[in-house]
Amino acid sequence: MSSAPAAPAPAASDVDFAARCYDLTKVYGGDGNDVVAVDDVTLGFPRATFTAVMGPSGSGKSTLMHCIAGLDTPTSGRVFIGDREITGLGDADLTRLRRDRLGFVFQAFNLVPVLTARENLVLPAKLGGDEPEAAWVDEVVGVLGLGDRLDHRPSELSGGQQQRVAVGRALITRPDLVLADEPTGNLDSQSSDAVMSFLADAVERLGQSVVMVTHDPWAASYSSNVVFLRDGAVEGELAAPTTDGVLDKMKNLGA
Amino acid sequence: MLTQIAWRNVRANPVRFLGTVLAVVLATTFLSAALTARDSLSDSLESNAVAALDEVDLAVDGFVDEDSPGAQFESPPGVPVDVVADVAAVDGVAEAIGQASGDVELPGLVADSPTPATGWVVVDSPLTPWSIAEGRLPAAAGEIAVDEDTARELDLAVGAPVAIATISGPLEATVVGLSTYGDVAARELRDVLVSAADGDVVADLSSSGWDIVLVDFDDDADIDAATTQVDALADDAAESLETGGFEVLTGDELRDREAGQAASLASGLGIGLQVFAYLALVIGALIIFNTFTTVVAQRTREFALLRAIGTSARQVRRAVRLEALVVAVVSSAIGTALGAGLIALAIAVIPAVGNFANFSMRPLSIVQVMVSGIVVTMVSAFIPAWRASRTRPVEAMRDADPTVKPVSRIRGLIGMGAMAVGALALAIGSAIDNWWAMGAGSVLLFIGVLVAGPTLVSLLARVLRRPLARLSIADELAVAEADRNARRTAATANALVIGVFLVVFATSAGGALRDFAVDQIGELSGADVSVASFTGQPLDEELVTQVTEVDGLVEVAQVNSTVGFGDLDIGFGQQLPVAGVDMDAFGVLGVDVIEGAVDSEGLAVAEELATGAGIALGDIVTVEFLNGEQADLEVTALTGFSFDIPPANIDLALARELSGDDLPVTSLAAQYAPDADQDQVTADVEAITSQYAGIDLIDTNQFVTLIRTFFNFLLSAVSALLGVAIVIALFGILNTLVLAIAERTRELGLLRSVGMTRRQLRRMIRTEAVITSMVGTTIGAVLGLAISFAIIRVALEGAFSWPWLELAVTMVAGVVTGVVASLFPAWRAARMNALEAIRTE
Repeated sequence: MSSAPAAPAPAASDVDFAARCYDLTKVYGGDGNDVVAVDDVTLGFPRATFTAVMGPSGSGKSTLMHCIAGLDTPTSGRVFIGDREITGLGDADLTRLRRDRLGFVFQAFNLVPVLTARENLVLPAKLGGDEPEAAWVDEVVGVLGLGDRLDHRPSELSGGQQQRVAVGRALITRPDLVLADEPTGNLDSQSSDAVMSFLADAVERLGQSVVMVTHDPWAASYSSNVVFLRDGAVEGELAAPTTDGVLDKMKNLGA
Repeated sequence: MLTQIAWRNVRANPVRFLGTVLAVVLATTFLSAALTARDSLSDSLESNAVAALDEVDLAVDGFVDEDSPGAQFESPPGVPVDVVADVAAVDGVAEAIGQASGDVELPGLVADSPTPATGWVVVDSPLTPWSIAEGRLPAAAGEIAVDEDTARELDLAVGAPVAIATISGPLEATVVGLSTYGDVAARELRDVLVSAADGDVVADLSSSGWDIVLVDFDDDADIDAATTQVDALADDAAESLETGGFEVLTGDELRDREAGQAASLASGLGIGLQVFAYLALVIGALIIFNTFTTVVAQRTREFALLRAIGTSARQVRRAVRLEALVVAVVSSAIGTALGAGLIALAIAVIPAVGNFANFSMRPLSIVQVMVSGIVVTMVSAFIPAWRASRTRPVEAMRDADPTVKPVSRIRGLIGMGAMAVGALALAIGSAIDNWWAMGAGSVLLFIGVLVAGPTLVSLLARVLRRPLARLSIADELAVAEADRNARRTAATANALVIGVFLVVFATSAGGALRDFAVDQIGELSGADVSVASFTGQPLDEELVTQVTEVDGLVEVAQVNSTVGFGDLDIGFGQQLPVAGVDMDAFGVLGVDVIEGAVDSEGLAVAEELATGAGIALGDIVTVEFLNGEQADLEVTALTGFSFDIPPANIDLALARELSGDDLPVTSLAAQYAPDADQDQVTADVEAITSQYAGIDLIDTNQFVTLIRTFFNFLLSAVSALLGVAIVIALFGILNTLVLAIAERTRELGLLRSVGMTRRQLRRMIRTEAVITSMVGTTIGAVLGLAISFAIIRVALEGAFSWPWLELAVTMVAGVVTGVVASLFPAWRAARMNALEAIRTE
């Protein structure tokens, strides 16, 4: 078990991590039938790396990601994006944080149907009232490889193309962290490959930090490090994973 | 099972039906209020009429010959005073009393603004319809009773001295009693009762007679014999009349007649209000249709699933209709109760209403409101229910968004075509004065706009997108969304199109009519000062003398507005009304003489009228006076129109001589002396007229102001009633937004998660609402202007006045409507948890 990411130094000034959480716990329900979705998790996601979070259904991986993204409020513990603590922030600050410092890729429905691919791409910058940085947009577009389909509406793009636009959109503000929630969940293998390659490229060529939740060992093999969750707790890690290595680990977890 | 699904659907998603419920509730509230107002008024008036006259066995009343030339200008003859004594003396008659009325004015709460009332000459008898709540009936000169509500309003108590104005001048009186009539305070708006001793002062009793004579028989009377004798007396009295006669009614006939009059007054009011209420319901129907269409589209997968597991198309149809029925029944019931409540409140709180009406709502009215609300809702849900039943089972598996239907190009072309042809027909019809072309053109234009609506919305959205994109991304997304679902945007805007069209049409056509009338009056020549009553009652001789003697007036002309009728058809089957004036003072009236010369032996006719009727200078016109006497008169002058007198005139003295009738003076016209202090003179004349009830000093400017005020009041009232339609349209926008937000939950969640602030989200929804309302307002206003312009151009020969102010108000109201409609949906959307939204599948 490699220890560096799982036991980060607790100093708030530590900027080697894109995101960190300390003693993060999320409990749902109440009235005696509580469900502990995330159980006292302390984790760090280093900058310019691609981390996959894996685990069987109900292991709390999505909840963990939502808490780190500020989409959900933890019951206890602290969350940092870069050097900024987000626990306790109000809606307006969280919104601004999501807009400027986080990127999201969901399983489906990532694009606003009335906007073209290009308009979707620059949406976060537009929401912030800024003109996106032209050189950076060109670079992302170049990696995106969508060519002339950029001016089409989402309904005119394939599922894989839509997800690639979604990844591009997540990168457009040069966020501290890109969070991807089962980004290939709805795609065939060929499209999945294109999306995963794009995500990996974003880390390698553009120096972005990515955290991806998935239950697909093949998708996880694109990452540089896999964190395994079970019953809301960290159950181990795997550096430089392969599909088979991940499968083995999953079997051991009893998934 | 399906019943359960329908019921649970309504219960689980009440907000989905919020706009529908509000629309139906508002429209049925309006209808319910209209019917309750009618019922309350009608029942109160009827029961009062019957209760107040319950002792009457027989009545003698005057009537007018329906086929006499000026029947509509004449009032029925009064029963001569001595006839009452003759009737009372008939064997079997226990008692006979007369009843007469005239205008009076009580002092107002504010100085110089008198309170108009009806003065009744009453006799203390069981037959008298009034009752006394406190004190007693007036018995001597200078004694009056006032209805108890008016007494309270004006702070008059028994024993209070009060100076009232009557048709024959001031009367210093003392309040001796407070009266009631049937179940309510007053028979008219306000009642003042006086004794027969003041009959001449209040109602010109000696010469005009009683309005009606009420008779009570002895218990053991031979009713047939007594009735025959009263009949004979009535016939005798009629002998001396020049026109009309007297009829004898039984008590039941009288009560039926009075009740009938009350009912017809109330039902007239009821019908007028119902027109607006049903208009509101029709606009509500559009919203109901729109809601159910949207809801059915959103639930395509649910219906497909139901169909896939073996539900029949009929069952699906029934389930949707059942939902509509639940909404219809609940909303209509709320509307019925609210409307009735509003009227009950008005009766309880507003004295002027409570004075003569008690609350009442007939069961049939409740049924009418409920049935109207339910039928409109069910009819509106008919097509959506049919569409739901046509859902194919495979659609359960489809991924495509079922809520967005593309704008049909053919539909757009057909609509635009209809608009073009309609506009052309309207323009041509207006140019060649063809009402058929204008009517057909208007209808076609309207239908075209409704059909082409989605295409128009799409076009507009594309034009607006770039400028809005420059404003903010929220605005751009709003316009893009309006475009994406252009059919729904157009359908939502349609309710507003119709509402705004009605308001703009009414205000612009009505405004043009008002300005035209004011203009025409302004152009008429007139005297500096004229004194007249608006009801056409004769002027008191003392008043005439006093005004004539006012310093600073020269040549006071005496006018009788209708002495008879010339045997000429002046259109619409009307005969030429002839006035009597001082021909010597003709110049005072400011009438231009265009041809010939006025003299005291001939007839002066307005030139336009003469040309229309085909007569010229020197022609002979036979004039029949009101009392039936006839005289042949030569047309000696053609004149302009005047504001003070009818278009045909003869010398008043000549009219009296020829008819042998002592024709009274109905108005006076005078000019200021050259060196007179005009304000002082006006004040002097006013001091005299204020002593007389119903008589006013009028100068042309005041009259113009009065006409303008009247029109403006009418226009405001109509606009307010039509405004309900706009409020209903507002609910439509609200409803569409709520539905759209529910449908776009995931999209909104996505926007929130990538950094859209709550403020931006609210702005986006507000902009979409404003776009919808602006589309509706603009189209409605353009249609209203175009159609009213075309019609007014023909009807008033081009005197169209552009209602800029009203238009500006309407456009601002449109924007405000959009903003208001978006408040709730925007709040709801912004409150939504972004995380939950993206989890929603």
